[in-house]
Amino acid sequence: MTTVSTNSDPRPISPYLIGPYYRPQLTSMLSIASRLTGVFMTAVLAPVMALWLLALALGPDSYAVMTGLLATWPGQVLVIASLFSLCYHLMNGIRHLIWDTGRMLEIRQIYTSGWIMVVLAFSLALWVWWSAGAGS
Amino acid sequence: MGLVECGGGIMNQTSHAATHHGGLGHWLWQRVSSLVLIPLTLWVLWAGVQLAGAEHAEAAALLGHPGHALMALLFTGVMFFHAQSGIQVICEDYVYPPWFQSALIWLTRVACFAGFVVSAFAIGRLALGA
Repeated sequence: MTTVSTNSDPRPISPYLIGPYYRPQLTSMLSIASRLTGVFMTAVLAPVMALWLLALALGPDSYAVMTGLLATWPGQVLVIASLFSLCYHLMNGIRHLIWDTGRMLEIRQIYTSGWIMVVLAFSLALWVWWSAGAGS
Repeated sequence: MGLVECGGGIMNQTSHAATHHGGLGHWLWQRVSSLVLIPLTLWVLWAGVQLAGAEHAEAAALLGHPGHALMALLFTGVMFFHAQSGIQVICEDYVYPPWFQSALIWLTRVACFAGFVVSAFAIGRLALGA
């Protein structure tokens, strides 16, 4: 058990996943990506979505400013990153909910569901992007 | 006991001012919000496809429709709750010292609540056609 040796009241701490201590694996990378997409969506997508709704509600002028900003290349990067994050977080979230019922917890199943989830997340994002482009 | 440990129950016993309630309730509500967000997220993706490149009148009409306004309200409500609940767990795992951890958790809660208030105001205005 790893402990903080300088602490007067040593408590167990989690193993460090970042750095040379732990080999990167599909399982840990997918888990970290789930948290990163969650943080990204909380910090960027959620506020942009609220501001988009506000701009729409306030009228055509503010809506035009918002759609204009989203049409710039940084805006488009934001939209694509948000779309991918949403699809990924959705698919990995479903995987986590299945685990919470006690299913699919064998190592082989975890790797298989991981790859299936990645393929589904990319496919969903690409399909939504293609549908949006075809519609506009 | 297994559930409490999974829910960060052990972490929560280390006197974190922002999170001194039980971890099981937090764990459960995180799962409930995840489950509810599955259909709501599919609706958001569908709406996103409809609204890509839409003119103001078109977008206002879609979100002004009572059914879609309700979906948007549900999505923003559950999503902002889920967001602050997820950030809380990440803060509990990585942020130190405890006062800074509590401050970040509360800041996230206030910001998410503000995000929901702004969204609800906008959706209400669109639904009432104001």
